[in-house]
Amino acid sequence: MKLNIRLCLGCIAVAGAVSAGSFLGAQQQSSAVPQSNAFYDSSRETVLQGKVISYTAESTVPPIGAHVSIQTVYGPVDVHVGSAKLLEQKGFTVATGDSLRITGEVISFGQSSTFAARIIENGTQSVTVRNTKGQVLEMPAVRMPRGAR
Amino acid sequence: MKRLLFVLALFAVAWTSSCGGGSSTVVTPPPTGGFNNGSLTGTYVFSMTGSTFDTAVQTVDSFSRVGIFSADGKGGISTTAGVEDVHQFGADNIFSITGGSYVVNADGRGTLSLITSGGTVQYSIALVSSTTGYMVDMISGDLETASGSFVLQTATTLSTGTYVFDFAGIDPASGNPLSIIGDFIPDGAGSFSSGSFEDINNGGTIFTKASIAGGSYVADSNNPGTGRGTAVIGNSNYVYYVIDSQHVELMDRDPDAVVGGTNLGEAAAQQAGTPTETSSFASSSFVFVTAGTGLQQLTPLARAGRLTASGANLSAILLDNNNAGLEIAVPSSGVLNAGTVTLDGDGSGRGTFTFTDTVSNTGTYTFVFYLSSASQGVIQDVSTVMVNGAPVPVDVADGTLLAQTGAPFASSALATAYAFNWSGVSTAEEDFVGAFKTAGTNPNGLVDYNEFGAGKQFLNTPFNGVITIGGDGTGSTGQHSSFAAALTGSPAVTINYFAYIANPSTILVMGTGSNRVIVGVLNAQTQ
Repeated sequence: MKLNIRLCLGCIAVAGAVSAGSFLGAQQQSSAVPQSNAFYDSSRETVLQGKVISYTAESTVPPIGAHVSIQTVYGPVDVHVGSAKLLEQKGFTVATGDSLRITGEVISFGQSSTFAARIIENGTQSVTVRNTKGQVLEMPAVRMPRGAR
Repeated sequence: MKRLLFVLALFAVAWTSSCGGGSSTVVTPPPTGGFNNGSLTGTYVFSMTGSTFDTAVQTVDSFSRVGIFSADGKGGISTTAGVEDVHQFGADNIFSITGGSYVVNADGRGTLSLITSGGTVQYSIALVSSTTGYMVDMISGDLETASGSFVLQTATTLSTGTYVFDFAGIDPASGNPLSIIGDFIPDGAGSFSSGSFEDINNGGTIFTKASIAGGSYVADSNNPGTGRGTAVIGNSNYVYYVIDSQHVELMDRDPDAVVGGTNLGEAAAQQAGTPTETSSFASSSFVFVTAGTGLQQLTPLARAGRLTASGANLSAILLDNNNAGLEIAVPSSGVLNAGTVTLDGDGSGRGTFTFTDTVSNTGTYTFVFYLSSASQGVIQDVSTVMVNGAPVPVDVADGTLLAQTGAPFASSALATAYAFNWSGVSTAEEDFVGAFKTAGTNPNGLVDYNEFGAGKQFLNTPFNGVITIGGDGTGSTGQHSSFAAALTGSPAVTINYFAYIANPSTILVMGTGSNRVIVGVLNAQTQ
């Protein structure tokens, strides 16, 4: 319960930050817009528990990557679980109805927020999808083709 | 022998069927055009970067490959003239290319197989012309994917003079995403002259216009006539392959200390007439695309824009962002008409673009560029966001800057056929190579693509599209130019792009979908 309360407090904090400005919408702004929740801070981590409603490897909801929707005591929560490729290669499977335990935190992204998973546990399975800086593991950069002329 | 040929033929049919989209209702249009095996004749410098699976440690790393192959114009690859450097799994390795084969279809698309002392790699290719084209690594299974290009080699000695360069990838020392742009000046005696500079974004730590005078470069005496050499530029060790008197490919060969990966790039000789004063800009319009990694979560990020420089002032500014699927247009409607451009005026070609979104108040955007000519350069995003009162770079990204000539554009100005290469990230890296006929504004063509997974290499996939031309692309004289490609087959894939038209021969594209970040280039084919 204590952890879930922390999650709610985190949500409130993020909501405040998001209403003030987005990550991309705050380039070199001179005003002191709160941006702390735009970047991952492991000291804010909490644990989210719930049953899987759906899993999408190629979500149309940003941020890019795999998302899982889980039913919590507070209602459905969309969780960004990082690289679908990583989950696939680690043999980590998620099915509707599975009970997940997810360590992470709510971060603002654009005008909305998402629960950014760092560690996902499904029964005896466990996979780390972010490092402690909140950086998604094994998510490649996009590269501009060049060379032809 | 006949039995073997029969089995191979069956395999080829099965391969074509299984990889051509997977649906029996898909009709592959016959390739048309004037290309053939003779279009690929001579020695070509090739380079590529992509993703690879390190089975030893069960992780996905980036890797790069640069080298030369020699095509005989008849479908054969020389057994003696090729060599490549592959930076993979922590180190740079050099392999001899001991043979191979290729097929060039009438539309310029085809396949290329390179046999090396490290293994055989199958590529899909698309020729822009007989001197250049694009290639995608099509190794089947879960092993790797990559996008790259090849260019006819016409010189093997690094020329003197100023070169403008752009290296992008992973810093071998730190494992951070890395972008380096700058200029170096080979002095003809194995060193780089004063006036050589680089701007670095190493995982968000920015170094501005650091001198890289000194260093060294030397041709590889063990591989004479290949154009291969090694260089020390700044604090990094590179292998290079000379393409011609104006271009050279370079790849960092330092061992990986943290994660697999390296940085790869190209340098282009600076041309006479490269602007040194902003007074040279007279309603000079530019388009650009930068691509790399957003630093918020280390997810893919791309930006594409256009602007007009008149003296030191910018106008008609439009910037599109795709940050891990989150799209933001700057401004949210219309264009910005205030900004500044600077040029250092020291012969480096270095300058900056800076503009503030006064419409949607999304902040200030800053880019560093180095011009290699009045119409071409490289560009690096150095925009920042305030975090706890301090500016923090938004991303590590760089790309191509091109002058826009011939605007406003009309569909009638488009070329009849284009070759293209797109590279992006969805569930994993994905790379596309192909060609299409413009057919007015409803292009159709064929594409090969690799989505980095078992059974995810697709060959000869037909696609139809729509090109929408919006004047000069500002939204003021016309709507956003766009390009939509609907790939048939299974799975059906539609990729929507904003199109930034530099000229009718070169169109930069950036994907607009929320489920992928993808960028690319369309080049008019000449036969």
